[in-house]
Amino acid sequence: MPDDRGTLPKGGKAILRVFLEYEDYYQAVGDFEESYRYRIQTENKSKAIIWFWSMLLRSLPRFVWDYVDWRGIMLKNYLRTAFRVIRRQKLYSFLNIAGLAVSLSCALLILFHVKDELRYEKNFPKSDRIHRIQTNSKYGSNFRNWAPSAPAIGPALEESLPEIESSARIRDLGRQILRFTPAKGDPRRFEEVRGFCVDNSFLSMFDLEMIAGDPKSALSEPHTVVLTASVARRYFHNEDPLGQVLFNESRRQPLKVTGVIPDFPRNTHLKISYLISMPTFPIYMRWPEALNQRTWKAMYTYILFRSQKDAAAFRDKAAQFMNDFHADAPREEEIVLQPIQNIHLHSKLEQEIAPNSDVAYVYIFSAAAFLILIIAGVNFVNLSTSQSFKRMKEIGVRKVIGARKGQLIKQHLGEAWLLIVLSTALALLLLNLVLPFYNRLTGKALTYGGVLTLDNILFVSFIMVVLTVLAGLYPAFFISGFQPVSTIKGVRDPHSTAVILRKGLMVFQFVISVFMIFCTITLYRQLDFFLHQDPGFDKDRLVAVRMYSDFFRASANRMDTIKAEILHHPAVTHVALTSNLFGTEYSNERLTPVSVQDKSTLPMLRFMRVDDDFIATSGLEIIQGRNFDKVLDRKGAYIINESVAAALDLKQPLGVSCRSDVHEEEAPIVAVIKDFHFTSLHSPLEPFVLEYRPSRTSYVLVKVQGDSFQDVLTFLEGKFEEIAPGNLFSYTFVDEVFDRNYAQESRALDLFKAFSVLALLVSCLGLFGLTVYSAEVRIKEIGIRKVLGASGSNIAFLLSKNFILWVLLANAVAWPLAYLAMNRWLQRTGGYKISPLKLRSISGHSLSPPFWLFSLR
Amino acid sequence: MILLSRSEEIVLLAIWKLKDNAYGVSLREMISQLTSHEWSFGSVYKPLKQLLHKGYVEKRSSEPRSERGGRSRFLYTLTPSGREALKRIRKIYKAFWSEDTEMAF
Repeated sequence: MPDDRGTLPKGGKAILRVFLEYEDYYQAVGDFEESYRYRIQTENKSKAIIWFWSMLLRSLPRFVWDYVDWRGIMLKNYLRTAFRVIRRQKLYSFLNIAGLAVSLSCALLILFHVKDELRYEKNFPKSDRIHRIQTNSKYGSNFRNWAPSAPAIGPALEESLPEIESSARIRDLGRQILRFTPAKGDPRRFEEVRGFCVDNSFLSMFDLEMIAGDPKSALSEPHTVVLTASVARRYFHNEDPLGQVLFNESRRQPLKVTGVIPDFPRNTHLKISYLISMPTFPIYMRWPEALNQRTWKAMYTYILFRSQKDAAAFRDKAAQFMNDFHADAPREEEIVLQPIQNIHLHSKLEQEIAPNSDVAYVYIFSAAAFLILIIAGVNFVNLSTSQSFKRMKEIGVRKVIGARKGQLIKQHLGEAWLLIVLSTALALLLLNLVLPFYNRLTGKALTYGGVLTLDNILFVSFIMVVLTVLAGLYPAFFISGFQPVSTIKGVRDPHSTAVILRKGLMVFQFVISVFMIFCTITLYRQLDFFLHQDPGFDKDRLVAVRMYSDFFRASANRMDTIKAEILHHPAVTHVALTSNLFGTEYSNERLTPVSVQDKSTLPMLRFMRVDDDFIATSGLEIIQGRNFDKVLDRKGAYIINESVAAALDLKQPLGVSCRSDVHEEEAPIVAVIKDFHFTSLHSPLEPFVLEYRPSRTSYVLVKVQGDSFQDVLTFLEGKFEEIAPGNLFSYTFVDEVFDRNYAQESRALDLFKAFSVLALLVSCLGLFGLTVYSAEVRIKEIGIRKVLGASGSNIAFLLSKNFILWVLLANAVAWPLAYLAMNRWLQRTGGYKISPLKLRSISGHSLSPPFWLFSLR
Repeated sequence: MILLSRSEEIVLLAIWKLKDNAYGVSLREMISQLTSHEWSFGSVYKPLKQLLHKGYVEKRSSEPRSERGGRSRFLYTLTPSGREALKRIRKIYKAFWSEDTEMAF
């Protein structure tokens, strides 16, 4: 009889294999096969097969039940052992679980942070097809890459390229005061910051859901406005806003409410609180042609492609389009598409809607999360292998009873899993506690509920599995490899691979923590440098009070008297007028000397309009020439910095007559000032022009002496109220505004500080565990030494000698690595920077050297 | 005294009846025949395991056999305590099935 005629179907055998082990499997396969063959002989093969499968199917519930039952019994035993170990070795279990929990919560927090950063704009369903038009312009020798583009470009693109589904323009209106006068009661008046003029197509492009109003026509008529829900509530409380009329005090025009939309999601670069219809814009500008301008970078233009592929093909067509677009007056200008999903992390253009984040921080934080998890995993490996010696007897007994290696590995992996589950639970609790602090630190609004989504939970489970495998596998193999005889005899091999591995891992761990601390200190010093470097002007103790239109009108003819009155206050030393505050966006214009015919070759310069007291108030230093003069310069004048003289190639700048783009009248350059950092230190020194034009200013700058800020502010508020009754009074501090440029660094630093401290803490937990262990191993030796007269400090030295060496080694490895990494980082951030190891900055401001920190450990 | 479940009892009886030839296939066939119900292998193995665990039966393997694809049979035989258990079962049943109760049918 051919042997294979009667062998069982392979699939059936495989099923038996899953549920039965060893002898049980052997017996079952034998019995099944015997009966199967018998049936083939007496009946036929197909009947035998049918019999086999039905028999298998009917037997299966028993097999499965048995399988589960026995697993359950063993599981109970394993669990009991595991909890017993946790309870008996409280210190180690605590170190293990606490270390893991802290680093897990830390890693999770970073994960959620990064995910939140990456989710920008994703709330808009078509965000993958929407692009913003970026305009790159060349002005003589310099470039400006603009976030806004010309008003006419959007409609022109839509018309000439069929693959564009729609285009939408938005225009920032800046601060405006809106008022609603209810039938009875006081008028409700607020200053609104984030108002935009938008095309009606904006609503459908970004799928803005209308709570009230018609999305097709809400913004097609002039003087109509769509409010976000929170703004609507501010003015109309519980009344129906639709059809009500707001009054725009800044423009002295009414606005009819034609719709309400929900508030914009938090994670978008579109920080918008109300939308005014685009046809209103030319009316506000008192310029009917405003929307047909081809060179004026006034609007952010968004275009929606029919498919993503069209966007890729657009690049080739853009150049041709721009040629046609500027056919009348050719310009060196190109347009580039910016996928809106990239704006938050990648865009750093002129005149962004709001400052964006940087993708570098996403990388840094992810790396930090990863490193912290590694540190925790290393702790886990070290603590479990060192602990395993205490369990030698248990393992020996299990082996003698007949535990196979696979079972022991499973048992210890299971224990690792259990610890990780416990720490994850603890980590989630910690996360809940930490979230409010985190939100305050970063200005985000993560909520516990919002964080626990399905994919996050899956990700957490994934991390748990990876950790279990990485951290549990080696200890499991190591433990299960013990020889039963030596385990029961209690032989310990101090030179086993585990000891070497443990030391190696410990060094590795400290390399990571020292690396992170080094990075933190460098970031700190960079920020410190930014904040304390002398920018070349005096930004301290300066209050800037905004002049609103009412005030401006009321004070137009008597500004000098008002300034004199303010100066009367004993704490006020200087008063000046300015159009911009240092550190904010400036006007971009060209300064054209009369000798130059073609101004298109001239570079773009930053402009600021001021009065004659500005130089003294802000402490700028004139190196040649004279200050502005009320009488001499009543027709305008310019003060330039050294860079302007170089950029315009003026050997003798004093007295040269120039025009600006805004004022066609010629006016002389009256002085040259030293170059100074009028923007953040991220950017190099640039050309800068001060124009004498008090009529075009918007802030009153007040320099205060002494500690009487509050007093001065009350005084100023009274003064402003006296001049323009009922006007809003809003003020800022110039140094705060300027330092806001470093908010990014400062926030990143705060987070990074916390993370590196945690990394160090977790490493130290592990080190502590190992030290305790090594003391335990040498307890007899220590006893003998003590009896022979060794002092406490002798013993301490004996125990810590080794570790100190290892930690020093870790430092030796970490420093060069960190140095290289930070060097690259600093180069990448651009602008002015420190050298990672230099102790003093250029200005002589003392930096806290990091060296003492390292010697603490 | 350890009470046996009904299936264990039946398997124990079958092992006793089959004497030296009690193994999976023969046990299943005999039990199925006598109870006139088709037993699955799974429902035979389970009580067998319990009986082994309780020490009523012993297991040994036979010579490899070609009809099992070269595998051995596991042959089951009663241990002395298994024999005791059978006797006890018989006694209990006898006591219950006394004549007057039999009349009730």
